[in-house]
Amino acid sequence: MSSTDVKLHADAAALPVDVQQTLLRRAERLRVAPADAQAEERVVWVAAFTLGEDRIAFPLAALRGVTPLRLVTPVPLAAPHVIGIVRFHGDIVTVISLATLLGRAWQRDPSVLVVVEREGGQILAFDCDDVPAAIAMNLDAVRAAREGVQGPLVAVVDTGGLPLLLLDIERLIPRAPQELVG
Amino acid sequence: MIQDDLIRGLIAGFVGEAQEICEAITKGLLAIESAGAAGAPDHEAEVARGLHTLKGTAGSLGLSDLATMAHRLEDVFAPVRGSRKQMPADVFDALLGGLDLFLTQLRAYAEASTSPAHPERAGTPGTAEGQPATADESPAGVLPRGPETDDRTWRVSARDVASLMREIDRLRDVRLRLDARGKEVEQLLATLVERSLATKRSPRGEEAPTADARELLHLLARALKADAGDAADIVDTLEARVKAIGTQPVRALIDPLRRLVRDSCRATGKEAQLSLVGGEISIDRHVLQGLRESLLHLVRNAIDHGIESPAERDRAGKHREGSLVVRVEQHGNVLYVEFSDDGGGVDLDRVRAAVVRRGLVEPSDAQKLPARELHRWIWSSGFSTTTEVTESSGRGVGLDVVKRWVDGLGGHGEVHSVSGQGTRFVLTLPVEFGSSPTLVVRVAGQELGIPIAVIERILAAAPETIVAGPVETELAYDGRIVPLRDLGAMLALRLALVPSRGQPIVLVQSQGVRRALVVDEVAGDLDLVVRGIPQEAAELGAFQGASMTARGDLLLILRPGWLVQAEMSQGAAKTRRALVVDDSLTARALHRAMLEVAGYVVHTVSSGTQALEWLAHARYDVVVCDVAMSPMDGLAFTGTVRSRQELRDTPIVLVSARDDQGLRERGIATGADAFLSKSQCAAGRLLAEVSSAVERRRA
Repeated sequence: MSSTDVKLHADAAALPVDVQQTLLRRAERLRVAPADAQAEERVVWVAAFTLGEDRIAFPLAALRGVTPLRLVTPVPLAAPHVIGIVRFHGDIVTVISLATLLGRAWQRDPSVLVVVEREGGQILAFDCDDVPAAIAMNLDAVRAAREGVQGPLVAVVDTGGLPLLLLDIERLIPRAPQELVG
Repeated sequence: MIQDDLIRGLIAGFVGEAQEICEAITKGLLAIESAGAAGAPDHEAEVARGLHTLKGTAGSLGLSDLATMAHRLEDVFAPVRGSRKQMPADVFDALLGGLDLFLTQLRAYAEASTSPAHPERAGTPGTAEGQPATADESPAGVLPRGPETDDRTWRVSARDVASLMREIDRLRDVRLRLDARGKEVEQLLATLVERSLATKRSPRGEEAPTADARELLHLLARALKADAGDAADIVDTLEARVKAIGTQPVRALIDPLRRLVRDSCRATGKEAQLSLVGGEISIDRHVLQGLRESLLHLVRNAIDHGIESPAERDRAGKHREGSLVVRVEQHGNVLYVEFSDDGGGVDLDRVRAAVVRRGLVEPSDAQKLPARELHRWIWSSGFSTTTEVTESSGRGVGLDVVKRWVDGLGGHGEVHSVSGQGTRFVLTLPVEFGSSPTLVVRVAGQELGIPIAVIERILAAAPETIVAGPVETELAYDGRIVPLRDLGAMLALRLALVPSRGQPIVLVQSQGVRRALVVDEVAGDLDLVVRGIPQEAAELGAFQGASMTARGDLLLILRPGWLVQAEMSQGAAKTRRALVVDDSLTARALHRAMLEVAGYVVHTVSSGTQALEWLAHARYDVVVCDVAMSPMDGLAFTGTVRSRQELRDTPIVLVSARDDQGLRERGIATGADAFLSKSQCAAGRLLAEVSSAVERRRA
């Protein structure tokens, strides 16, 4: 689209020519803005963190908090991936070992607990090496990568060209049916 | 009669006090009546004091008719005091009835005195039409002020109290962060000193440039520590106060119920005793109020329909006096209330007849209804098996009220009945929060809570009382044989230990079953707020909830039913055992997961010292040990193991986050069978190295 498609209001005719040209250029930029806005809508924000040799990410909307990995009470008899329970904002939350569940390599002992909210409001925490960083991913690319994948991890490349594993928490820990009281 | 606002406030306050005094007098009278000729001097003195207080206070407030009433009650009670004869029940009827009347009349005075339309106020001089109102007669002055009353009782929503409790938890987090910041400042100071940057004087005797900063940091560290201490006190006090606002012990129910049992028995000519198990459990006041109402209905129902007459009970070979038992247990956020009687049980034929009479089922179908289905009808509105309406039953409203209350709370009610043996009502109720006295024990390096309600005794182990039975180890206690279990082994934390002399044994009883539990240490008892736990922990069945400790972590509370029913971990029967030693929770989880897949029974510990304790009691096929641990690192641990003759051949695989050749060589030189970096472990090398180390040692 050329700038000739944009017309100034009749009142602007009284303005100096250079001012009119500046206004036309601004108007032209504003015309193309909606296209940029549409592109923004196709972005999904994720929280990316390091676990051993991998960079893993999950939807930023699920992130509820980050705390140091301490004051975790081990739960005897629990499955190996359940490393304990911890307090978080007055609630008691299960802490799971992501490395154990995913069977991934790890290089140093995790020091950070990431607290996430699952679908339906259940809160749980998992361990990782560092505080997650928010990064934007192209939604279409994410959707395309997910297609046909059944497992909890999907390999993608982030906007910086680095490999990233997208984590589907619901697939990682299938929800058991809720027990009814009585 | 009412002179001014002050007197009005005092009368309103006297209602609460009189209620408590009347409850104490009632309790005393029931005990005296029950003691009969044996006498109960303590209770007699208590009743006399109570009546005297009622008389004195009523008189001082100008309530002369109430003072006279209390005086007459004293006259009635006088012959009872010191008498060693069984007084007629009519005397107790008169005293109990008199107390009811006293309270009713007092409440009426209190209500009248706080009513805006109070006649005495209307007649107060200076309020006549056309007269200017003084400050006291302004609209605000006319309204009942009752400052004392307002300060004493507030209505607080349970939801708000629960929300306050969560805020206190958050405050505890802030307190812990203050603590952590203080420690960080101390570390910073130590670092400065270590680098000689903070010495008071340089080698040339001049002030070091950082001396002032060091001084400031020192003051800051001290201030932070003091603030953290103050914050801890505030959090603890707040928690105790909020808990007191929101909860009340269940035992508060028992006295009014005993009075009801007594009155109902008098009215029906039956005999019954009521007992309560779990009275020390504190529950949500709102739930307690509803429970009080429900139990009143259940007690009436049991005496009217369940408990037989003394003659019938004699014929049936039962004790003349029927037994009514209220049992309360709290499992996390679920409260179980069981009300049972040892009467004749639900008469299914009468229930069938009632169902048909109400046109709910055809007569032919009624005969096919199973007992379980018939028990459900008992809860229905308007359902009664009697056709005659008496003062206490026959309208079919009692159990319906209980059912509606339980349903309203989102709970569940069940009836179990055996003909000729009795009936049990089980109410399962969700509760927002509550507290339970809890014994804190240490076992296998972990602290756990046991509800005190199930603890019969704590003993020190004596080898002569421990018997190796044909199937399991048993404890000879008080002329009985009780199965002895190692709590650490029950929780799969270690192999079963036979207790050494003096080791604590906790004797528990639940659901009529006794178990003796071996623990490592009894840390003390606490009154704890028990919270529900997430599904991953709840579904294990071993824990009823968790409580927050002053340190900020959680204490798991063991479930009484599990304590008496759970068996030892079956792991001991398997042949291969591994001990994982790592101070990282994640690393322990990862190693355990891998070794369990390979068929090992895995026990985990967080320090080298603890691992040496484990190895002193049990043999392991392999030890997987972290290198960087404090205070005893993996190299020191390996050296200690190799220095002990009995452990010399135990395979040890060292694991380190550092993939360092020098460290690897030192590890092997110390006596380790293999050395792996943590990233190699995850790549599957761990199992290969473990197998190889085990094979080499066997060879």
